[in-house]
Order: sequence, then structure tokens, then C-alpha cells
Amino acid sequence: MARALVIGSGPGGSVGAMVLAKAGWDVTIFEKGPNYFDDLTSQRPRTLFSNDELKHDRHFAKQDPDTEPRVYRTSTDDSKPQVGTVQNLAQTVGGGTAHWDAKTPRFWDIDFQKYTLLGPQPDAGVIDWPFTYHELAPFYEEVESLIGVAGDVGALPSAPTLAHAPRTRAFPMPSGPPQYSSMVVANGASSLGLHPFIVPMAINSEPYDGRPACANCGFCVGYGCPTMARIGGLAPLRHALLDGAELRAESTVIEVRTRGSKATGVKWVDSAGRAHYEQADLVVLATNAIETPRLALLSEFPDPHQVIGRYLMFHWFTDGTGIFFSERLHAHRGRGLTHDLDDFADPDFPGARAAANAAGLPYLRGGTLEMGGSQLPLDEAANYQQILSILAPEKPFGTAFKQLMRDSLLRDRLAGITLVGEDLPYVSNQVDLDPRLRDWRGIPVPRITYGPGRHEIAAQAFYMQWIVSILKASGADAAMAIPELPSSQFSVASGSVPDTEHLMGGMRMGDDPKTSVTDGVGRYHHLDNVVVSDGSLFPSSGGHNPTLTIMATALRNARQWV
Amino acid sequence: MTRYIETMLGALSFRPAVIFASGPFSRRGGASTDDMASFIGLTPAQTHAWSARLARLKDQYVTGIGELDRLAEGDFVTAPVATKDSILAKDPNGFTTLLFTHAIEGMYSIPEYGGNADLVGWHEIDFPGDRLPEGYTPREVSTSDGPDVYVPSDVGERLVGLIESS
Repeated sequence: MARALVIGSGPGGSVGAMVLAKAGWDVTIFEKGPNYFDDLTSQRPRTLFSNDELKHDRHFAKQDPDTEPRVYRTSTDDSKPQVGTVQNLAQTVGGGTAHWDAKTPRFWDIDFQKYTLLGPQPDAGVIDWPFTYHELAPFYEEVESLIGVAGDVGALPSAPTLAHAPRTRAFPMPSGPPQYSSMVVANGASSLGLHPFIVPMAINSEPYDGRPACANCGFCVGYGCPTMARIGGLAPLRHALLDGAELRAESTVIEVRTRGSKATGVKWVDSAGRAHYEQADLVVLATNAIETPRLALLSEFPDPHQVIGRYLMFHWFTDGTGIFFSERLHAHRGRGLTHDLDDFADPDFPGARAAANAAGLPYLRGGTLEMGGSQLPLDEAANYQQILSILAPEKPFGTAFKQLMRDSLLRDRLAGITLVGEDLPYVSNQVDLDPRLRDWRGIPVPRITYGPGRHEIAAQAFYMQWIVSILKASGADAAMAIPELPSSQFSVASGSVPDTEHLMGGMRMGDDPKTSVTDGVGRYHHLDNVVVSDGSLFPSSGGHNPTLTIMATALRNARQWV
Repeated sequence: MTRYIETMLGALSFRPAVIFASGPFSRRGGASTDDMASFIGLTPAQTHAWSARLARLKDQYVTGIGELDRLAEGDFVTAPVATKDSILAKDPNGFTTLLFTHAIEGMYSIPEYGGNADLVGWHEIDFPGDRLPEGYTPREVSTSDGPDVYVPSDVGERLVGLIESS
């Protein structure tokens, strides 16, 4: 029986494992992180995840910077690289879908044919995806059914959303209860002529596939789901295991061995630090857009054009804060937030072309806008701790702090906005291996070199004004927008380390081996039996949450490997 | 608060270490058993990380407390409140920041970590804490709780001013 080794148990790797196991491959899945579930072949495994903010902050489900730090620099000229947490995704069985809040918009037609339909961008390496929206649409449908997406097609705006991401079928479940804080902000957006809607989410609104409806606990984004109303990548993982795949948690692949144009197997380390070798007929890299390029570089894959790790993309999240004096908005109940609008993802949004031209660009895009989120008390308290030196410099603790916590302006009276902004692919934004720093196993750590381009700076500047306008129109008594991108234009954000968790590129698909790393099905250009199955494949980042597209792409590609 | 900090600094002397409370539920949220009362065994990677982190924190506490006593010219604990406040406001070696961070963690985390006794931290800020398996009804999610007009505090008004000016 042919042997496939899948590196990473997140949504991309699990879909690949599911397809391979079903096709009769002998599949082993390696996961570096721990397994917080009991029987993963059951529809509803029991889990150790819980509504526990401190556990979350103690890196329960993520790599710990004390064992696996990363290095971040703004450019190759940056003389002060920062060390620590940089875009850490979950490191646990289930990967990023262990801690997502499961917003599952589809990418748009113009994302897949970006070069053809929108044209080139100065400085950026814009290319088309190897397939169109219409080719991917059936795989979107299949994944939506597999993981259980709740939504209402009739509530999606015909333009721009359905015009760019048309649907032929109803969602498997109706939408869950809208969140009050999200409705308040969405009403404000509507009053400005924008088009908010309840965003599709892979969270049960009713019992589905043996799992219960969401109980609205409120510990959603960043938290593992304690009830399994949100299953994510564990759904395909379960199918893989039922078809005979083996899962090895706390097992770290540190090298893919190659001979000529073939991978022969992998070297991996168990939880006790013992090294092992495993033979492979196919190696599937699915550890995310930072770790997959890292492993490819550690394995010294043939890379004649030095493109491994390049065109790395991070969505930028520009946040808004709205404070309400007349009532409490209780955003701690429900799915974190429930409403989005897509107007700002449209390159033809009124004024966007002119703003682009003023910046010397052919067009610009923001992305989807999420409305109604807030934060939990530990995060809230940390905010006050940071700003008390400004608010009460003579005594930045004690009574003033407790008063702020009781006032709860930045939690119970807050409704937030997050703009998920498109990040163009730049050859200079990349992952490579840090020449000095090593992780606790002695393996070189990834070094992330990343800075926004003209497009991102101009798009953020254009849409920031809208964020405040929406909040004011919602009835917020005080509102501000907080720039995310580090640049000289926004001193507040300057020097911050990217932490948006939407990681894409680095092993991107394309026809030209000079500007891409993998081919049209995710196969490494210079190795016949190495494929990639995670967000690193993305040729461009789109302006929507990426996980559904990671899974649909993995499904479409994997069907062509077998 | 002392209990939270002592529990954390000594977390690795327990088996399993008291770093990650178990799950998924507690009696607070209506479960028949309190899963969170037990703790989850650490992986070797987590043990490595927390050994390093706690050793560093213990050093910071020893150094920090020594620095507070030095600045108080005697026992910091018995110094007058005004003296204590002015010393803490200097944030010597970042020790006030560290204490503050840990005070926050203890006060607003689940009580299984040693702080938030009788849920005093959550009660004071009107936070319901962990609510599973009961959760909230769709009505509680989707409707307003009714008017609740903010009564401005001095520091709150300064915060609003900061937001409006940014």
C-alpha cells in the first residue's frame, strides 16, 4: 500500500488526509502539538478546551515563545529584529480550527483571477490562481456541508457579495441567533447605505452531524469549542481516521529527506526527543504559511529561483472601538460577533478608485468588515493597565484601575469593528531561517520579514475614516479607529508585530517556477511527490477569512493527487 | 492575590502542574461535575517553557521585592501608603507592571487558579464568567438588556477624552 505522510493536523492537512485515506493510501498524520480530544473517530469527541481566559493566555493551544520563539523584522534593513510571538497559530490537533471563530465567507471571483480581471499592481507580484471561482465552487459546497456552515443565502447582499461569490444551494443550516452588539453596528452601517449581513459560520445553529447547537457561551475566537458545536478540521480528520489513517500528536517532523526529484521520507522527533525516520511515497506539507516554508528550507529542497517562503501575506486587521453610554451591549454572549459587510472588499466602492489613483495605484481593496466584537476581562484589564500611565500618571493602578473595570467602557459598553484587509503578494515579504536563533529542539527558527506596501497603507487610510463613521452612525458616544499596519504614516502602530493569524503565501501556486513554489495542484515544482495543503499555497490573499478557502483548495487539489 | 501568585510560582511542584485547568465545564455553568478543578498534565514542550518562565519570574520577584524594600528604606509592607504608592508608581525594574499583570490574572480568571475567591473579581465588574454547559438563550444573545446609562467617573471621562482625541 502506498504510504502518505501528512505533516500537520489542521484544516488543510486533515482534508488531504481524508481524501488520501479514502483512496486507499496508508496515511500517517504528524502533529507537533498535543491532542486535547479523546475519541476523534466519534462525531462528538470530549475535549479539554474550556471557557478559561487565563489558560488561553498561557499558550495552552499555541506554540509557546519560550520553546519556539520567532524572529520578526520589518525589512532586510531592520537592525532591531524582535523575538517572541509572531503570528502564532494554534499548535494542537485540529490546528487553526481549534481556535477560530469559524467565519466562513468564500473568496471572490476577482481573487482567483486577480491579474486577469484587475491587472498588475506596482511593486507586487500579482498572479492568477490556477483555478477560477467557478471551478472551486463545488468544493466550497462540499466543505460547507462537511463542517456544517450556518447561513442564509437570501440574506446575503446580491451586490457585492453574491455577485462576486455566487451560490447555487442553501446552506446546510440556517443562521444562528444574531448578536445584539453586531446588530447595533450593522444598523449604523445600513443607515450609511452599506450592506451588512449575518456572516456564514461553521458553528451549529441546530444539531448537525451528531453535534449540538451552539450554546452561545461567548468564548469563541481564540478558544477551543467545549461543546463541539464548532468542529472545523476535526470533521475531515475524523473521516481520515475512520478510513484507517493514524494520528501521531506531539510528533515533530524536522526534515523531509529527498533524493533527486523525489522525497524518500521524513525525520521526526517524538515528545521525548527521540528521532525517528519514516519512509514515504507522498509527503503532504500542511503546517501553515510560516512553518511549511520553514520545513522546506530546513529540508534544503532544490530551490533554483529562491522562491521558498516568498510572497508571504498577512491580512491586516484595522480595528474600531465604539463606546456606548446608554446601555451595555453584552458581547460576551454569542459567537463573538455575527455581522459582516463586504462593501470595502469591492475595488469599485465609491471613492476607492480615486483614492487608489491618488496613491499611484490602479485600484485598492480593503476587505470584509466584521462588526460587534468586544473582549473578555483579562484583555480589557491589560488595556487599562497600559493606558493608566496616561490617564492617571500619579498613581496608575489601584482605585483608578478598579473604577475603569467597573465602568467597563472597553468591554461591556464596547462594540468593535475589524476590517480584514487584503495584503498583496510582495517578493520581499518572506519567511526564511534565522541564522542564529534556535528553538528548544535546536532547530533554526523562522524569521519573518514583512512590511506593508503602498497598497495596504493607502487602503487602510481610505477605509479608516469609514470605521469611525459607522460607529458614530450606530449611536456610539465615542469612537476611534486603530491602525494596524506598521508605517511611518501611523505612529501608533509603528513597531508592532503582526498578530492577525491570517497567514498566506510562502509556497504559492503558479505556473512559473520563477515566481511560484508549487504547481496548479499544490505540488512542489522540483519534487514529484511533495505537495502542500495549507494557506501557504495562496497566490494572493483576498479580503476574506481564509480557512474555508484553504479547505476547499485542499479538497480540490487532493482529488488530483490520488 | 498572594495565593494566586504563590500557586503560579509553585505550579510545577504539583502533579500535574497547576498551569492549565482542565475542561470542558464547571459547576458554575451548570455541569454536574467540576472538570476545571483538576489540571492537565504538561507535555515535555510545555514543561520546558514553564520551567524557564517560572524560574525567570521567581528571580523577578526576589529582585523586585528587594528593590521595594530598598526604596522604602526598610520593610516596604509596613511603609506608609503614600510612600508605597510613590514607590510603585516608579515601576522599579518593571516590578509594578509584573505585580499588576499577575493581580489582573488572579482577579479575573477562573478561581481554580487561586485568585478570584468567591468570584469577587467577576461580581465587582458584573461579568458572568464561564457559562457552559448552560450557555445563553438566543433571546439573551439577540436583545437589549434595557437602558443602563453610564455614570461617568473621572478616570472614565479621561479615557473617553483619549478615545475621542485619537
